[in-house]
Amino acid sequence: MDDGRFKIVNRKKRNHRFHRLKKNRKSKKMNSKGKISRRGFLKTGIAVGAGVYGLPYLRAIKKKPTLKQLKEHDLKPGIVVVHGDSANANGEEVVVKEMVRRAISALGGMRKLVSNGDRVLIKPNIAWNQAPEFAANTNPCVVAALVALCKDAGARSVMVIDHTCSANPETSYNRSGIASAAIRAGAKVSYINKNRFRDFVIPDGTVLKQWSFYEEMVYKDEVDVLINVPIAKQHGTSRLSMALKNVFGMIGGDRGSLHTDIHPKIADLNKFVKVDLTVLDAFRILKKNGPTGGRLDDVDNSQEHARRIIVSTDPVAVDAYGATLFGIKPKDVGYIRKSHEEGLGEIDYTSIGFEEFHV
Amino acid sequence: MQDKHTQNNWPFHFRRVIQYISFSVFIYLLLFLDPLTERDVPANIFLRMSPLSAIGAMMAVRAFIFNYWPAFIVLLLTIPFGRYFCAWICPLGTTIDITDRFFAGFRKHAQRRLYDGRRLKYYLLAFLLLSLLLGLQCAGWFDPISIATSVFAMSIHPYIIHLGDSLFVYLEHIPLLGYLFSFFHAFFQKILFAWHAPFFRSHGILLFAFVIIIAFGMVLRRYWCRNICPMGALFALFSDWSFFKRNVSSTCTSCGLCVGKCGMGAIESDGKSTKEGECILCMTCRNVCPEQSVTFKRFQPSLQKHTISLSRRAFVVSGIAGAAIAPFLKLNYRKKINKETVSIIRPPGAVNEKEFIARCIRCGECMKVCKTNGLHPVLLEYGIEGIWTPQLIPRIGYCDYGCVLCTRVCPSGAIKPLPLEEKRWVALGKARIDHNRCIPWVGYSRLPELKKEWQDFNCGVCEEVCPVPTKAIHFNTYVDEQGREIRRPFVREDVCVGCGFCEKVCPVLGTSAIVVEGIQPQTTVKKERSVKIVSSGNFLPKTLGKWKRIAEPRIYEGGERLYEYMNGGAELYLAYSFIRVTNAEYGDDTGKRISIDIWEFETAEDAFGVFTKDRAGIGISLGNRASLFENYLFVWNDVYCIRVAPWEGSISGGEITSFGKSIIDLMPYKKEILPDIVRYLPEDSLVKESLKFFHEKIILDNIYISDNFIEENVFHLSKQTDALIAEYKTGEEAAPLLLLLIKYPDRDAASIAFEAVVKLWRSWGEKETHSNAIHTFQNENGYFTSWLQEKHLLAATFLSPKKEEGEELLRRVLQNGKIE
Repeated sequence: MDDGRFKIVNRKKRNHRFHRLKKNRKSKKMNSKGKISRRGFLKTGIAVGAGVYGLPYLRAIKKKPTLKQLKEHDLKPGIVVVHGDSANANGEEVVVKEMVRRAISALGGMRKLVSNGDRVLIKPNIAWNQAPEFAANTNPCVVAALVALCKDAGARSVMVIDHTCSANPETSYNRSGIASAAIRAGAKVSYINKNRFRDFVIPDGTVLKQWSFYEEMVYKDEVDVLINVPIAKQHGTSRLSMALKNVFGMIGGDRGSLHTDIHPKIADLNKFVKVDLTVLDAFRILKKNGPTGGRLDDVDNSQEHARRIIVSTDPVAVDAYGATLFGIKPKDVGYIRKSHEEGLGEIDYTSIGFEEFHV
Repeated sequence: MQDKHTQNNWPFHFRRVIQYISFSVFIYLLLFLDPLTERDVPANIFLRMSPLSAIGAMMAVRAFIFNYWPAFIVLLLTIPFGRYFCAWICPLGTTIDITDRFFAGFRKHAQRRLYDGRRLKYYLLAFLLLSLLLGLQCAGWFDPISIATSVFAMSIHPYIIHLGDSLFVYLEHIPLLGYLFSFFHAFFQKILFAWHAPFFRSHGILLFAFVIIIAFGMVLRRYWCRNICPMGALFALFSDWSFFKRNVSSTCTSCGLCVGKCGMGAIESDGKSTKEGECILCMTCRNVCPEQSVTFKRFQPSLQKHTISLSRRAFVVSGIAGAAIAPFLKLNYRKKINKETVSIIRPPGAVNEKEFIARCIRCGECMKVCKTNGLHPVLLEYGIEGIWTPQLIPRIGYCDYGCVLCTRVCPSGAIKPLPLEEKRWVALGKARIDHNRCIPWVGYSRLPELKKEWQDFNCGVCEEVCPVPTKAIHFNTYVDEQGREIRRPFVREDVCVGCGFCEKVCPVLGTSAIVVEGIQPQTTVKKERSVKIVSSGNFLPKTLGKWKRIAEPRIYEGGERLYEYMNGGAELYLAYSFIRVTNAEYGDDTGKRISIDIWEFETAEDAFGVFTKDRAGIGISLGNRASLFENYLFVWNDVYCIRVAPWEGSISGGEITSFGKSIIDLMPYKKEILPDIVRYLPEDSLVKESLKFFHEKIILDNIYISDNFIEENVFHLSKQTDALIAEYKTGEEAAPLLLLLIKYPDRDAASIAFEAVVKLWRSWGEKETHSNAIHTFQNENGYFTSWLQEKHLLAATFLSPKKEEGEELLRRVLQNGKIE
């Protein structure tokens, strides 16, 4: 049935073979044109190889980045606790934003920390794919308020970023409401880029001598001001998760392996990161089944234990105060005690100046 | 001539535009599958347009699947339009069209002939349909849309991302130019979602199959469509009534131009007649014809129709092959062992396994949409029959507690659509902890030999990430005399949903210490009840002296509720006949706060047991028994065990005691009834506060009786057994001697336990000696453990430094003379 067609094909093939014979006869001349000679092959091979291999060495031309240090500021050294009250959910956004604003101004105002043209990085807790009312992630209103304050103070850019526990950051960023709230307030929201974790030596680490940190949070030429915005939660392994524990969102590596003997490790990690300001969201706190939560029964938003924003430049003092909200003595939480002992901050938060007021 | 030509080629170009648009839509829907599905866009529309999958799934489950309505429209349109689908819409056909262009040179040089008989696809279709009748679903493996979906989603997309990503990372290092590349990189990552590049296992196998399909193009164009595609065969069967059949007018000069250009090789060498069912209306022949003699019309002169001869014998052979191979492919030893399931984890909402395997068309859409990249194709775990069905591999990616995307994209209903509220209660599997790998469990069994590093054994990542609101993983905390604390995790199977987050994050290298095993059919976990706040019990009045009660007491009744109250350790109380616990807080004017728990048990003996288990400090006279440890008070009174603890402010032991006393005063006085087994204890040199009464093994697990952890319940301890452990002074300096007594319901039970125990101690290779009925074992460190069985009583002394001391104590139990 196909005979006719194959005849055509065969005729073509014959012609083709004939051509090829002719080609072979002049193959020596053809070398320079269509094909490549052995010598040419070697030459280009060496050239390309050297280029590909040598290119990364050009990196050395770039200036070696230096590590961020604590920014010099004129903020008061104490701790400020702002109580807020909102019975209905509609008022929450207004109340929380007002609380954050008043808290920061009680500490001296954002302008005392953020200077014109600064790059600010806000690190909330966006670990879980959970809605704001379950108190598993930082309240989006707190983040939005801080973004607005930084912008007002003249920050060139405000970035909101966290290394989530969810495998896909997108789910957490969206469900927590932080992504949309921060973008609305004018921040740049970005996901963790896996290529940007780098191992650093922790100079005075007792248990951890070295760990991988996120470059954008530790390099001087990437960030000027680093603001840690945790939420107060119960946590299985470390008892409580607040400011010091929130540093787990700034690191890479095998974070699970840090959970054995976690307390000194949290202290060690905090020695490396230079957090300029800590804003603890205790508007709602998660008292049980943390850090993931998911049950409104476990969320405490009563006036006596929650409904607060705690602000200080001293993360240990913030955590010490936070622990009391759970009815736990600060010294009973291993990492708070350890961090205090190793000079990261003051565990007796009243001694550095304690201010408390209602909004 | 030339003008006429250009004027009339619009159908060809129109077809091409449609083809590329539909291909772009296909790629777009695939790339943006998850955001689109989140917005409820039916992004699986292409899969639902495949009549082969539709017929396959429906025949295999013998039910009508409404979701496949687009497939019927496609099939119905075949009647007026013939095999239009192949050249206008089919994504695999378009892909082959594109790749075939690259192979034009190869085709010119091709020396070999390849089978080009057109019949094969019909036989394949017959084979597939017959095996479907026998319940073997393999239509999906040959469905071109399934193939295109899985190849693009699972091989090509990840490859492009990984290659592109590493290329950009490399280029970004170039000084100056690097900034430009960073900009492009960010853009590229946004477009292709390369922040979390997906990876699929066996991507290489898929790519290999795909390369074979397109490599045929080196010899003949659209080889897959001509000879293999069973969907093409299906369309061909319906195309006979088409309104658009190729007609060649008399102006044809048989120049042969269209013959060579026809992608399907459908035109006979004379250029006039067309092979039946092979024309895909690509309009190329019309486009190239210099004489404009090709038209598409309802009627085709019979001379221009070239029928494909199908042999009946081959049909019979393929039918028989289908009938013979189908049961063979269904063989699977794992299924046989596991009662039709192979404990792989199916996506949430998967129908029962038998129906799942019949419905699933192996398109890979659920794997593509999975946000955590947890769904991967099954290879041979389910036998040949299950190849390419989805499976959750928690070590790579878990099932997100707040995600239902995979249930929305399944075209055939193998995964039922589930609303999020329902999906959260569906258990895909159950997590199990491997005590030989789990860090705290290993630490616990090695505790005696550990000196300093015990903190290194406290791990709880699995508990931390467990997304179940009440946590399906809890801790059972064990504290030894030196204050070393080990929190052993355990899984509450009744609420575990098998999402695999714990397995994913377990820091143990290699195989996780907590592994999820799939369950089929998937079950619904028990829904929690809301916290019940009952009005106060009689024993907790609103004011008590200076103390005022804060809020209503909370009552937790039954085991289910107890877990809620105690994050871990609840089963220690459930090992006794637990009824309820009532918790209340009292405060005074100065801001001091006290917390009180009243535990209620079925029997006074069990309340005594819990009291003995928990008590600490010095004995004081209150209720039936009481002890005070600094400012913590433990009281046993009748069926109640009461614990008073300071909560806030500095509260003295005296305040706590007087508070406890006023509570006890409200309770009716009860005579102290000790468990019967207590009378077997020799009284001399007994440390009275050391007594511990219990029933179940879990309590014994927390007592150091041997260097080896005793995993199995060799003591045959249960609710029916009474057990007692007590310390005896052996001297001023020496460590006390531990005596264990277990009372069994009858003598046989006691002797079974005795034999099991002796066998276990022997298995550790300890040196064994006998004196009368007492078996004594000496361990490597020279400590002696003695065992004795007398009637329904089993008695033992542990780790005594002197052999005689232990044996002597046991003899004193015998001489007590009270054993009937």
